[in-house]
Amino acid sequence: MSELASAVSEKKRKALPEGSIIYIILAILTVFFGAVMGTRFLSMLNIMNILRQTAMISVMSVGMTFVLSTGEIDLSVGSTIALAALVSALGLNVNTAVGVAAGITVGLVVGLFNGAIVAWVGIPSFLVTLGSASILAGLARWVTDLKSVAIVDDWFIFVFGSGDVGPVPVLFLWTLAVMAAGYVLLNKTTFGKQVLATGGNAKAAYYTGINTRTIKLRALLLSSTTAALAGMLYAGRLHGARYTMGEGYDLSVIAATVLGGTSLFGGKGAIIGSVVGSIVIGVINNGLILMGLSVAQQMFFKGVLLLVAISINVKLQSRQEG
Amino acid sequence: MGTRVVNMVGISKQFGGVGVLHSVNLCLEAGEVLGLVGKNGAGKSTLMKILYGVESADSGTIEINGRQVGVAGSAKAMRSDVAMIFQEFSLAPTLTVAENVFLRRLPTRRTGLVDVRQCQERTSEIVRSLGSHIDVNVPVATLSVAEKQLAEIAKALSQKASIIIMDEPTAALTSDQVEFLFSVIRTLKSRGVSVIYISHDLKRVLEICDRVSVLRNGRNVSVVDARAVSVDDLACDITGEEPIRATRREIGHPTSAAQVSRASDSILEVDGIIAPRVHGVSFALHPNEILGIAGLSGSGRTELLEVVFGVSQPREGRILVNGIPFRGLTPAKAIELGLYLIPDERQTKGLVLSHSVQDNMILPVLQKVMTRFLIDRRKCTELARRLSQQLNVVAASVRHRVANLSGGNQQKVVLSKAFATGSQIMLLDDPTVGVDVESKREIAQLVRQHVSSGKNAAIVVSSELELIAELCDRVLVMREGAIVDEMRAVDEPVTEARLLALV
Repeated sequence: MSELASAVSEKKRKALPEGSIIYIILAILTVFFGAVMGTRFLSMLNIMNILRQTAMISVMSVGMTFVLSTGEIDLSVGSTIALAALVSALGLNVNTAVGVAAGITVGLVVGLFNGAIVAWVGIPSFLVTLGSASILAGLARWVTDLKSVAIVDDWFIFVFGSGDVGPVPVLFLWTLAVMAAGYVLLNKTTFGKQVLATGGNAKAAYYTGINTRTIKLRALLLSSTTAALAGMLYAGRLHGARYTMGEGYDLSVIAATVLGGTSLFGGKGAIIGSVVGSIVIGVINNGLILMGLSVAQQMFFKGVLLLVAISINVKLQSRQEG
Repeated sequence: MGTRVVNMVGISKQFGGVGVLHSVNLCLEAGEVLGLVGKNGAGKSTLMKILYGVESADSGTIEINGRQVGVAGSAKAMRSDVAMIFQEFSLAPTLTVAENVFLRRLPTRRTGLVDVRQCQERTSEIVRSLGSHIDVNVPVATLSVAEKQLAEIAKALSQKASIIIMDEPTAALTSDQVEFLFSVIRTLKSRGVSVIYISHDLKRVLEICDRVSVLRNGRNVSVVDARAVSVDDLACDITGEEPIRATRREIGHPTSAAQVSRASDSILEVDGIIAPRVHGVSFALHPNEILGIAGLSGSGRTELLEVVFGVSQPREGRILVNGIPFRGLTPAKAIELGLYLIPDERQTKGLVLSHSVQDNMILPVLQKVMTRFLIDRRKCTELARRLSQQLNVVAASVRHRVANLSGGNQQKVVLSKAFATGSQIMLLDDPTVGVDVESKREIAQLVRQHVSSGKNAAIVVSSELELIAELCDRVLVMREGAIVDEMRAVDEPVTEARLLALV
């Protein structure tokens, strides 16, 4: 009897393709919340809402996937959101093009800053981005002296936030577009292969001629730029920008990425998994709110669920590598 | 006549059915330095581990300081009168010398707290008695290799060990540091401490040891008086070759190497390279030749190759590829120029262990596996399969993680990257370490084949002198950062014993 059980579990272990655990978790959660709340949860309206709400984290998790894959980390993405949103909103007062360009520029500048210090001064990204997060938070408060900036540019609001194309929110299209681009970039370009090699063994990667310094810089550029984009999406959705935006998002982004199968140590990245991880977190948030839990209860159970999900993920990964 | 402190008789040991030691004897007198020499795998380490007590012997007897001790070993059974100093030291880097020395027996005050002053004083005493002035209150991590070694010796002495085993003690030391170590050893002798000195550096062995015991294939070959033998004799005992007395060579200047570097058809020239551990090296590499660099670890060979490949920059000197000098080389540039380095530590420098065979193989040639700007999975698999076949990499599939392959196959994956780039100049650093016999042969053959086509050539660096003797057309002997000799296979037989005597 035990032989049969072990044979079955062996098969199960082989049958699970790598990284698929996150889809299973999503399925379980959907079934759970669907069972508890029926159509309140499973309605088209609610699902579209979830997709709107998760767009920002999803987009950022794609960028973060690159950073984690190189064996680094970016703790400044949350603060980048606020600054990019504010700068973009201010730029929109001039005209649309300036607004969009300004927002993206914030991402590029932050990424260059982080990347240059990590690549050429050699300080670990954990410390660098911790520092720059604080700098950015200060800048976000300084740039409008704590005042919010309203956005009235209809085009911007439609494209970057509140629009719908048929039943599908524009925000979800952004998620899909960034996810697709990220997938191709990580898995099908020389850059992507070099990113994974750098994270897998930076020394060995260097010995094969890879310039690991610029790879890390480019990865940090990606995480900052996607954060800036997320900031613009946020601003488009709320029709305005405020310095509190994005506070606390860093850990959600990292949690989503790790949940999705990307390794915290580098060398392994899963773009689609990261987006699904973000949706899983969104589903948890949404479900707990719909269940009528108080904020305290929400935070508590969110933490519990995340820990459980990540533990299962890590355990299964190590068994697969077994 | 001194008393015998160690008497090992008839020690035999098998590992999984393979005989490692066959009835080996070893005896050590009080206050003597006994050299223990032999090739890698001859059984030296195993014999010492059995003496130390961490390894058990299948049969035989051991007497230490007149007492019979059992041959069943375990971590707990480490003999207190025996201390072993390894190449990788067993010191805690963040603790001070004094703390390390007394680590297991920290003296305490009545309050139960550590009596720091006693630690420091007693350690200083020991250290000074050995003739050193290192500060016992600094963290071990800040010490040089030689100083760490001294700390280890101090630790051994504080444990009242009367027998100290030193495993390759000079591999990482400069000339001056070796001299100092030898003075310490002589001090130990005068205090009645006995030393077993394991090393491949035969010159040094004869310098410091009183007697030398030679092991070959797990058996005693001879025990000789260090004053009565020459390095060549010792080398021949180790390898089992017949001594060739007729054509005894003198140690030459590297002028012959300098002459060669003027040859116009050299594809690689190294001119006056000065770098950490490399003290002025020049040589040239010609088309279709396999140039060997024989030297012990610590002789600067890895550092030399890494300078040639651009991993590190030399303080002085130039590198010329096909006659054109280059500055500020990086691995990427070197690969473009046709060089490729197979590094000495494949797990840390040569492979991304968590990735598949395929993913590792394509890394230096990503441009070659693309179709219309994107990586083509099929081309990757094709390339990986082709290389695996060419080099006989045995793996369930090219998608398998490299970490799961044997050492020999892992090394072949590293080698395949050089082949993938079609490198004209292959630099191989210790390519057969930790590799099974069959794979060793395959690798040697692959290098041979590669070098015979076009204007290819290779440099093989190794401490496996047998490999160098067999494979190379020309051999440079490297010792303490400089080329001390050169041998050409066409001029004279390059044998392992010869090389062993020179390194």
